[in-house]
Amino acid sequence: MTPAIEIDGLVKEYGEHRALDRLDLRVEPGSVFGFLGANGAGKTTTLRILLALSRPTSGTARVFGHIPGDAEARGLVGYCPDVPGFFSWMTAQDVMRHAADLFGLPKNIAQARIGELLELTGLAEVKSKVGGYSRGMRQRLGLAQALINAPRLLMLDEPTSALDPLGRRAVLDLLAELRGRTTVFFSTHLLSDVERVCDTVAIIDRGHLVTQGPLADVRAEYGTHDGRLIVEVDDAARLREALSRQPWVVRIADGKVAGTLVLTTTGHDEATACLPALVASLGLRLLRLNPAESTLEDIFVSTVGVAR
Amino acid sequence: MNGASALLRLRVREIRSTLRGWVLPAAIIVFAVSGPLMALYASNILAWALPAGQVNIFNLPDPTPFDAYGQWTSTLSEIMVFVVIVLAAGAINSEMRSGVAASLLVKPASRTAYVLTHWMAQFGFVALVSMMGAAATWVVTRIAFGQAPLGAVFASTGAWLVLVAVLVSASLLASSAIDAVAGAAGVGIGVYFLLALLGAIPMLARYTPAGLISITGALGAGTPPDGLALWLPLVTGAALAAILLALAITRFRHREL
Repeated sequence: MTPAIEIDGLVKEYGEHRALDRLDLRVEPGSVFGFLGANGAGKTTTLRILLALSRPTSGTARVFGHIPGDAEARGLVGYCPDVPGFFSWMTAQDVMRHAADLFGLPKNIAQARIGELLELTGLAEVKSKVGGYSRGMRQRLGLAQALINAPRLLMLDEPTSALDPLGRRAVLDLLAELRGRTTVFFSTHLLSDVERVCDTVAIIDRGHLVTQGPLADVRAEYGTHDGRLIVEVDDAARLREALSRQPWVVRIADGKVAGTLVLTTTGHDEATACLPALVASLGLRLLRLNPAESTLEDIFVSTVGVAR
Repeated sequence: MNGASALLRLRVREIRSTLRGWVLPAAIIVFAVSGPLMALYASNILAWALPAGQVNIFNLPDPTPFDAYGQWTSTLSEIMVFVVIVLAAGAINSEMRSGVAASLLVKPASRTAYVLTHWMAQFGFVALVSMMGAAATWVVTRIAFGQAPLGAVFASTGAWLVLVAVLVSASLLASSAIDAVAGAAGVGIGVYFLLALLGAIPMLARYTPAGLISITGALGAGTPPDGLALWLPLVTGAALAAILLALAITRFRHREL
């Protein structure tokens, strides 16, 4: 099957600065793909090349087998930048109608989609001009107009960066719903967003691919259980105090579930040997003791942070 | 599908929805109506403005409809050209800066269509508004003077529109190459003054676009140059506009957005 995105040896230089350094990437159709990297890693540059807004210095990029910017490629793609630009004199309806016009959508289909998408993004009742919109509203409108052509590939640059928690949840739910129907390729540094909706991820650093693959595989390859434990007892406060005096405990954090602690220790074996004894000496009941699975943040920090 | 028709509809809507859609026509009508009246009452205005003893210094001839047209061509050449240049100079770079251009050009709209529709909208709007102004000038002149030759006012406006075509193309080229609106406008104004300066050289005024400014005035005054001296500046002016527009398209096609 033709990949939704195929990038080979992509290089982009701005004068002396190399923004992309022989980047290789492959995005399978139907996936929700998280494109991760720190600020300045080359995420937006990659997106801009895929959209023909920028030209590569060398290497190739293909969108469903087409050269970016080809008439065929444009018809297949929807794009929402992190700060979408609109004419300030337009209303949300105007923006959507004009986008539909550019894609040559028949009027009845356009009208139905406009209503649907504005409803979905919470802008159906907003009648004011775009010039008065907040950044979050702009981002929601940007997403709505990116979906007007029911794209086969939806490219999003930091799509939730300006949204409040409710707006963010709505957008992430929408992206999850698109799985299987539309390939979603979104760049972000919000790792929790990626963990929530993505099935595949790539991490880039300084224009170079660090890792790429299904999220579970990346976790298995880069994640480590060494020294990280989740522990639950009937009195977490007492245990925390006792743990803070133990030489084998490096860091104590609250777990996601109330009453649990996440320990970073000097070593898994020593910790699992010492901890039950410590709990017993305090007269507490040990309810749970598991190795903590690495989060995407752990993996990101270990793969990108180490190189810095 | 290159999106040209959708982009053109967008440009037309933009003109209708923003200030310039009515400010420019309103200003043109004010100039068109006031020009003939100022020509008709020029001696009265002077008499009112000057101290009593100095009025006879100016022995003004009786005003004619061509004096009214002279007011109109002065408005076009001394005021309207700068409005045209500033509008065109901000057309592309301001949309690039705001992210609007990127938003349009990731959809099925070609960069060529993007620049062309900007040109068509700018030129078309100015052409429509200036012809409205020419019509208003003719009507008011006819009412004020009792007679008004139809051809002269429209011919001079037509010749001026060839100059507009050159200036819109030059300003769009600058707008596609320079990020600052003021910088691009400076280039457009520079082209205008260059044409005005070169127009002072008779040979260039007869055979090149440098003659467009003097032709506009001559046609309005009812003294059109004959033969090649009329047509060569018009034809070479149109050719220069086409070349500058082609350069603007080429430049924009190679820009990173």
